[in-house]
Amino acid sequence: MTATPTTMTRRNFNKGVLLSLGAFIAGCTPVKILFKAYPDEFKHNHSLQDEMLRAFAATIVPGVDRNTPKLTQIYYDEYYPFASYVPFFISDLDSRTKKVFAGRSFTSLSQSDRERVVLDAFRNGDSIIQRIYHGAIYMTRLNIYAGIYDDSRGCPHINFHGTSQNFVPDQMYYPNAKQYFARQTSLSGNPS
Amino acid sequence: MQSNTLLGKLHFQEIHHKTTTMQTRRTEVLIIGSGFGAAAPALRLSEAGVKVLMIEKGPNIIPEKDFKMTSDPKYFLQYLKTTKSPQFDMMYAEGLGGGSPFYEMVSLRAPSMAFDQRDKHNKLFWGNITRSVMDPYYDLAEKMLHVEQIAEDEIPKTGVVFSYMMKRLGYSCDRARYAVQGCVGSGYCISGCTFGAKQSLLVNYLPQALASGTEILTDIEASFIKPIGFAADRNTETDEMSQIPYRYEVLCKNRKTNEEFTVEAKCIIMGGGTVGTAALLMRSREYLSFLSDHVGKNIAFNGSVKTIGLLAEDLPDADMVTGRTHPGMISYQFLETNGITISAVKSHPIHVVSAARFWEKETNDRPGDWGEAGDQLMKLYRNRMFILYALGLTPPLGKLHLRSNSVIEPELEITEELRHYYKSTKEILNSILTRNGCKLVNFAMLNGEGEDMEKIHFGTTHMIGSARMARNIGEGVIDYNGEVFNYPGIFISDGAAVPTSLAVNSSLTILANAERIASSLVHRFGRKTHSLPILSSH
Repeated sequence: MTATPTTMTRRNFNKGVLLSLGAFIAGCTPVKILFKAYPDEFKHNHSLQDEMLRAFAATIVPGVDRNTPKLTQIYYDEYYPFASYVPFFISDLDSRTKKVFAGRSFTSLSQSDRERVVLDAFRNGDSIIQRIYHGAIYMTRLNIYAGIYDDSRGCPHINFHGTSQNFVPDQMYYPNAKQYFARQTSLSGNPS
Repeated sequence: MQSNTLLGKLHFQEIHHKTTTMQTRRTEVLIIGSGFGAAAPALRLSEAGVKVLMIEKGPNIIPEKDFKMTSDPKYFLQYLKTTKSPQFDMMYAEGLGGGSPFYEMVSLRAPSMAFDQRDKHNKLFWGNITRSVMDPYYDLAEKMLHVEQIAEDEIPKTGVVFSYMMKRLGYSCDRARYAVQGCVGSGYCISGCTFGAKQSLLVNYLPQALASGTEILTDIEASFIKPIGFAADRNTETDEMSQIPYRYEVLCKNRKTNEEFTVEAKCIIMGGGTVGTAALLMRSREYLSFLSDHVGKNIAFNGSVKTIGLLAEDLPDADMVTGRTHPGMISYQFLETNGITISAVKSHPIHVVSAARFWEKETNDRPGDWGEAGDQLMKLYRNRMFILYALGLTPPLGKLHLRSNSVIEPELEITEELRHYYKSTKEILNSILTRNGCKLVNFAMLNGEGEDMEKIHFGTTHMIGSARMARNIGEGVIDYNGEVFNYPGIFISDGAAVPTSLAVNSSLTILANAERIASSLVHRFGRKTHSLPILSSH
């Protein structure tokens, strides 16, 4: 079999370059982020963003109520660099879900299936993807467990009461603490 | 005595306004920094009639207005800064009072054996300075900060459980000492005590220094130090302040207005902390070309090692959040044998979750640090999770590198000695937990982006020694009176001067050493004699 000769016209050349560039953009995480190369709905559809981020937060902290106020605030907080990655992160979450679960949406999955999607990012994502997911998990835990946007609320989920509740000594200290004391080596508390 | 708080408040507000109208100026003594190393010389010298100007890089802090009971990272990051590398990171504070508004208030004397440490040539790092030499200065520092041993009935539950665990193993455990008066046990010590109980420098040294004549300017960064005139002129034979020439100029920058100005001083006291002082000296090397090569080296860091477990069923509940931040108890059981002290960690979720990820076991071929498994573990965090940590007499192996005028990076080579220290210390901590029936929890320390750091990693707020005291310029940067070799009139009185790890929190030793250096400065330069509390009583 002989090879069919091809004619490289200017049009074909440009098309080839564009296709290569497109493939490059689609396949390379930094370029995707840089050129915002993901569907518009992930950039502008705030209710979709919110829904997916709440589902993600509940994946990382399953006991949290998805309707908790300020549950997604940290992802958009421009104080943290993650804010600029939100649309990309959501689009990745979506495409990863569709790949792993044949076209289903992330928000429709069970807890264990959502965990599988996140796990897929660590197992099959490149280093940038892994970094973004690490960051997302980190911020989710900080936000929920530390209650960073509501000091007076804390995190009831883990029995963290937030700002001081004016506890009385009986709540803070054991009344019979002395019975638990080990031998002490100094009268002052200083080492010799 | 006048009300410190009121005095401080009035003056600190005044300072705030002065920063916008400054001109080039002269002072007898310029003190750079306002933390534990800076506050004592400021107070003692101004009491002795010396004209003192203090500049602080960080913002003014008015406790009543600025302190918050919060878990908001933005609040902490406003004051707390970190410089990090894969093996080593150091956290320090920038703000009026240095680290004192944000520390845990633990105020312990360093053990005798800390002062007895020797270098590779078998020479004492501390020279003739022993614990007994330091004790009168510790007395003074403790008196100023109202340091007292915690009462038996104020020990947080976590501390009681820790003591009980040590008791069950036949080990000792002591009630620790704190700079606090009227603690209400809010648990928010390190976000700045909103109850006015913590005895930070904002309620003692600094307002008293102001009352004695020290002028304090905040938001002022010292860019570099430059000598004035010839070396021979700077090396005066007199200590009579009026006859000493203005020997150094310091280029300063107002960080709010970007306005630059120069301060000319007869003496400079560097008290900007281990990182700040070393950075300033390194930036100034172009002008201070005869500085010791040891600047930025020999950093000791109290080798902190941690372990995490879940309490055995027969142990009572701990409590991570109520009571003061430090759990009240410390064990010196392994000090003689292993050079370590051991305590438990009490910490709000923000500090634990931002510092580490932890998991009990692998699930689905991954650590269960998030998802169902991670969440179940976090539900045990407050009362059943237990963190032990050790501080040790690790060798001064840390270094700082100046990457640009504003970027400084630490370095720590994990030597075989450090590796052994880490492993043996970890074994002791794990053994305390497991022999008490506790289950160990896996954990990895995190960088600020949620990624794991190196397995052997030392993080500290106790860094000391970047411009250490020594016998000569071949071994350190300053002499034992704090004066920089080859640069008469420049002194270092902060953590940078302290040559070794201490195995306990470093704040009280830094302050006591600053009092010691201040005492010698008052002897040399003071115009009044009333302010020599050590020498008059000993």
